[in-house]
This record gives sequence, C-alpha cells and structure tokens, in this order.
Amino acid sequence: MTDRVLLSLRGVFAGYGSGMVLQGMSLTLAPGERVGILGRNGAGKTTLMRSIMGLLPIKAGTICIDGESVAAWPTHAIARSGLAYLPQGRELFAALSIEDNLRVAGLAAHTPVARRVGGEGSVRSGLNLEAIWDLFGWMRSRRTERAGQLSGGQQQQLALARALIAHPRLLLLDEPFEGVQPSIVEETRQILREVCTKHQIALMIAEQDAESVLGLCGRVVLMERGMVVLDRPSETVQANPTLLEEFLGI
Amino acid sequence: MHDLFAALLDVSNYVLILMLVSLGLAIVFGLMNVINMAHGEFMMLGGYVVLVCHQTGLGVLPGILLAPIAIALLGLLVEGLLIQRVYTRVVDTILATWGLSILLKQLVVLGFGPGSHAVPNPLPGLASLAGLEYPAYRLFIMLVTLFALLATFWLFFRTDFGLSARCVIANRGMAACLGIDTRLLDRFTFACGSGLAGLAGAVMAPIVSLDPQMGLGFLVPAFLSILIGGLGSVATPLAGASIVGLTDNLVSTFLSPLWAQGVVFTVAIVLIRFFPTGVASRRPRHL
Repeated sequence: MTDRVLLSLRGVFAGYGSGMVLQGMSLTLAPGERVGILGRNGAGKTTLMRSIMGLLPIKAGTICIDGESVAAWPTHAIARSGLAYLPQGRELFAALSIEDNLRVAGLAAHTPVARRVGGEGSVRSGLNLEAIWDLFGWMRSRRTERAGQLSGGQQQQLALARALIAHPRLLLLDEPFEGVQPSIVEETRQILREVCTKHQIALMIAEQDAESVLGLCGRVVLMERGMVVLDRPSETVQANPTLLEEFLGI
Repeated sequence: MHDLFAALLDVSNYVLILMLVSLGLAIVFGLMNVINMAHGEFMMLGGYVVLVCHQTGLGVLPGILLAPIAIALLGLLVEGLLIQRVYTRVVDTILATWGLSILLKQLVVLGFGPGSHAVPNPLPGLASLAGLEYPAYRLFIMLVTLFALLATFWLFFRTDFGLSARCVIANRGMAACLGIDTRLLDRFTFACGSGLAGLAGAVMAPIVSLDPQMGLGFLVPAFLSILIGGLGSVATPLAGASIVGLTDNLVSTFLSPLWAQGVVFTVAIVLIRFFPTGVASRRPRHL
C-alpha cells in the first residue's frame, strides 16, 4: 500500500446541541484499506460516520478527502467524491422497487464530477446494475418488488448493493450485520470481501462485536468517549485477545 | 339527462383546475416541507400574464402558453431570494410566504388597480360532444389541465429526476448520501409547482374576472384537498381535489352556492375524522 491518504480526520469535535460526542477524533485511512471501528454504544461510531458524510456539521478539527478539507461540502458532494454510506437501520426507500433503489444510487455515479474525484484519472465504473445482479443473484428476478416487503437479510443485502452501485472508493458501514440471521451475515461478508478486494474499495465498518470485523479488516480501531483509544493491525489484536477485553468488557 | 351531463362536464372542469393548484402545492410541500401561502397569488399572476399578453396584442393563447413559464421563473427567483433562507423552519416559511402573498397582491393593485379585469375568450363558440353543445373553451381547459397533470406524473414517475425527487421526499438525508443534490431538486420542484399554479390561473383567466384577491378562492379548497387526500405522495391530493371539487360543484348546481361551502367543510371534517392521514394514503409514509 502506498502512503497516500484517502480520508483523514484531525482533532474532530462533533455532537448534538451543546454535547460533544466526538472529542478530538483523529484517524487516517489509505486507499483500499479496511478498518473496523469498535466501541460500545455511545462511543461515537455513528456520529463519526455522520460527520464524515457531512450529515452533522463538525464543531472543530478537519476532515479531509484526498487531502482536501470537506468541511464546507454538502453531503451530496462528499458522496460524489467517492464515499458511500450504509446507515444503521439501512434506510432503504421502502416504497420503491429493488431496481429503483439501486438505480437512484447509480444516477449520481454518472454525473460529471471529475473535479471532485480528485485527479484519480480513472472513471469509476464497473459496478453497474448487471454486476449487482451477479453479486446478489436473487435480486434480478425480484427487481420489481418493493424494498419494504423484503426480509431483514434481503434488505441488508439490498442496502449494501445500493452503496456499492455507485462504485465508491470508501464504503462506510454502520453496524451492517445488526439483526440479521448469522447464515446471511456470513454470505454477505464473503461478498463484501470479494467486491472490496476486486474493486479496491476502502472499508470502514462500525461494530460492537469484534469477531465480525477481525476477519474482514486489516486494522482495528477502538473508540471510547469520542476518541481513538487503540489502533492496531488485526493480527496483533487476534494474537492478544486481552487487548480489547479491558475496553469492551467481552 | 343532458343537464346532468353538462353539469358533470362543469364539475370536471373545476376539479381539474383544483387538481392543478393542489398538485403544485403538494409537490412543494412534499419535497421541501414548505407551505406556500403565496401559491394562490402565483395562480393569480398567471392570469395577469395572460391579461398583459392580451393588452400588448400578443394574444390570449400565447399568453396561456407563456404564463406557466413566467411564473415558474418567478418561482425560481422566490426560491433563491426567500425560500432557501427559511426552508428548514416550517412556521417561518408560512409567515414568509404569507408576507410574499400580501406583497404580490399589492404590487398587482399598484400596477393594474384594485378592480377586476376581463380577458376575452380565445375560443368562443360551442363544440359538439356526444350530442351535447358545450363551450369549446371549457373543453380546451380540460385538455390543457389533463395534459399538465399527465406531464407532471410522467416527470415524477417516469424520469430520473422524478426518481430522485421521490427519494428526497421519502428520506432527504439518505438521498443526499447517494449523491443527490437535494437543493437543486428543491429549486426545480418549486419552479414546477409555481408553474402549475401559473398555468391554472392562465387557463382560468378568460372565464373568470381577474382581480388581485382571486388567489385565496383557490388556495383554501386546494389546502382542503390536500388535507382530505393526505400527504406524502404526489398522487393523493388529486383524490382530495376530486372530493372537494365534486361536492362544491354538485351542491352549487343542484342546491345553491350558499350551501356549497358549508357542505364542503362538513364533508371535509367528517372525512378527516375517519381518515386522519387522508382518504388516499393507506400508510403515513406511503409514496
């Protein structure tokens, strides 16, 4: 991996009202790198992702994409620079069909945003509707069904597909495996691993459960009270299970 | 029998116009959460555009064509100068657009005087429809409004713009996360809604007397249509407009216009009591 930086946060403070959830959060992510963000409820994982996407204005610090500060960018510009976000609870468009959910996410990928993409030089494509049908076979024949009528596991896969179809450079997943049956979680994780490797998509997964990210991410970051308290390669953490225990209380 | 048929045509006329006004109001509210109290004035101005076109010799029909475009541009201007500064605060949008409605009315009074104006009927004469002689211009109104309604639905349900707009209506934050420029959509939608009001005022111009206060007469039933039909969709206000328009017109024709208002409001109260989210919306978040 080169020493280029895709995303960097430096001393970020953010929160709701007068309460700060992120308290001096710093983190960098290289292109194609996969990092698991671990932490208890309320540690600031969701706030971190919402701040990166520009859904929550930050109070202090800087967030840079390709070295450029995105503080003044509206959310859609951040998305178009190559970030995709799968929020907790998935937030699919329940009344729209599977195909429309995917199509609307693909629209922005085809708008002229070369400037925003930051001189990558390559057109981000390759993950189109056909590629999605190949990844999630069941969707093709059911593409006219409403998203709201799908099971939890199917909704989760559709939400992931919706995040992938814009061919992001960085995928932000907020507790994506929550409330989904284990067999589907395993299948989805396998697909995620393949896609991210093949298309060199960087990954940031927020999870409470260390097991579900250790096998997927090369690096684990532990958050507590809005700050990074531990940042290690996954192998180190796997070799020393006690590292996480004191923080997570497993 | 012919009387009934003619009455039904009259009703359809009114219902279609009301649909046009309600639809414009509803797409703006649905997408931007902005209650546009000046919507009636946009309609009134549409009529005055036709008046100006008639007075300058351009003609009434070109005026009807020009009015929705002019009012859409006015909408664009209003969005940029006023709405986008307050659109996150619902109550403020009501106050701001109410102020705008007063301003627009007074500007018309200054420019054209407080009295009423008339625009000649560009299509006088009768057309024959299934053995019934019916004013040609009223048929023209029905065709134009029907076309505008269909065009709006095509825009919202058959185009990429419409797909994006429906996503913004359903979940603004998530839509932005998918790279949709929600502010651009707001601007365009507000222009569309204004244009629909302008068109409604323009086609009505030759059959009503134009005066600065005419907007209110349509804004109230349009709001009622939205209340009865329910929000959260592009289609539900149309059901409301049908109910309001039908009740109002049938009671006016067969009983008396005096009773019509009372009956309309009674029907509205009863329907809202039994369908609090609207008769046409099965679920609150149905799209």
